[in-house]
Amino acid sequence: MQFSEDNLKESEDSLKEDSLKEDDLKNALRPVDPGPAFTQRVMARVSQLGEAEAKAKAAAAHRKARRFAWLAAPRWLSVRPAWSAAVAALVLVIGLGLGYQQYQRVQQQKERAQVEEARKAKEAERQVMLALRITTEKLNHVFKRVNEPLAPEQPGTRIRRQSL
Amino acid sequence: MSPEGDALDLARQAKMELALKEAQAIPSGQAAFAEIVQAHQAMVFSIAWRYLQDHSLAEDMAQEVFLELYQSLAGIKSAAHLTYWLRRVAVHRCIDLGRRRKHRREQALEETPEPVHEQPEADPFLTVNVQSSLATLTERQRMMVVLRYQEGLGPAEIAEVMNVPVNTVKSNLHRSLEELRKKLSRKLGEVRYAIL
Repeated sequence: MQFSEDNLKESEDSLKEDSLKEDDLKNALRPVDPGPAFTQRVMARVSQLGEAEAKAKAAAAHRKARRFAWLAAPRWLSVRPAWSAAVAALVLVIGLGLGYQQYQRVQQQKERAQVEEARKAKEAERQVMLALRITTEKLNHVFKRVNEPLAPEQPGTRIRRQSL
Repeated sequence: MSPEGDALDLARQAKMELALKEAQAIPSGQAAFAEIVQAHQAMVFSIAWRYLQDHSLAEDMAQEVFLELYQSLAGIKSAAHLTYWLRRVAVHRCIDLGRRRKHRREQALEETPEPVHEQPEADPFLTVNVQSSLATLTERQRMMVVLRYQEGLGPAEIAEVMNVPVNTVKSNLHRSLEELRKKLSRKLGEVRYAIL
């Protein structure tokens, strides 16, 4: 059912003629103030809410602080700044020393590995040369035998194959 | 409205703008927020009370609406926006609460509780009768009548606040007025008969 503004207007106009007037309806439905006590109750709840929020924020901050407490400097460091600086310098020197030692160890290991590699390469080279020499000798022998003139053939004799 | 009335409204609005800005400046805004509550509590409470027909439930709900406002205060842009926000939130909280309560959609006239507040400037007899007749409407009709005659909203504004088509608002208002008229005529007739 389609209602236009006219239908509503008609209903509202009829209010004016009837026992119930539009103004009466508006008067009867005037906003009712719940009183100042209501405002106080709302503000009390707002304060409670504010306190609860503040507590929750503080608890969250505390949790966060505890989570990252290990990052904070030890308490004794803040007591004597000169000691702190000395300890820091000592730690730095020791650290640097240890670092240099480690560096040297690594370098030595690298050098040893290089020497070993070179020795292995030399050995491999020697073996290759030996193998080549043996091969050359064998080939020379074969070449010599191949080029030797064969003995004249006797009739009725079988040619015997000679092994190389 | 008269020029004095217009000037009064403008002054009230300017005061509310100021209170809103102060309230947004946390933490110094508690007194300003109290001023905002005071200025709008009648509207929020009346919407809830007339819709829910329960004084304590309406007061609880109105308090919840203001607490929600306190938490969303930073998002309020102006005094007009504040009124619109409060009205809209109150209407929707009422509808939600009404659904949760699984309250009967219509109430018999005899079961309707008597209104707790007096309206000294209006005809008390008529006020009582209008309010008890209002309770017999469906929840949706009741909210529309409240928004139309308590808040003075037009059908388009009611449609926007309640998220319903404008034609639905018009037809519901038309039907509600018919029903109210019938019920009130009968009641007033009975009274006249009794007096005579």
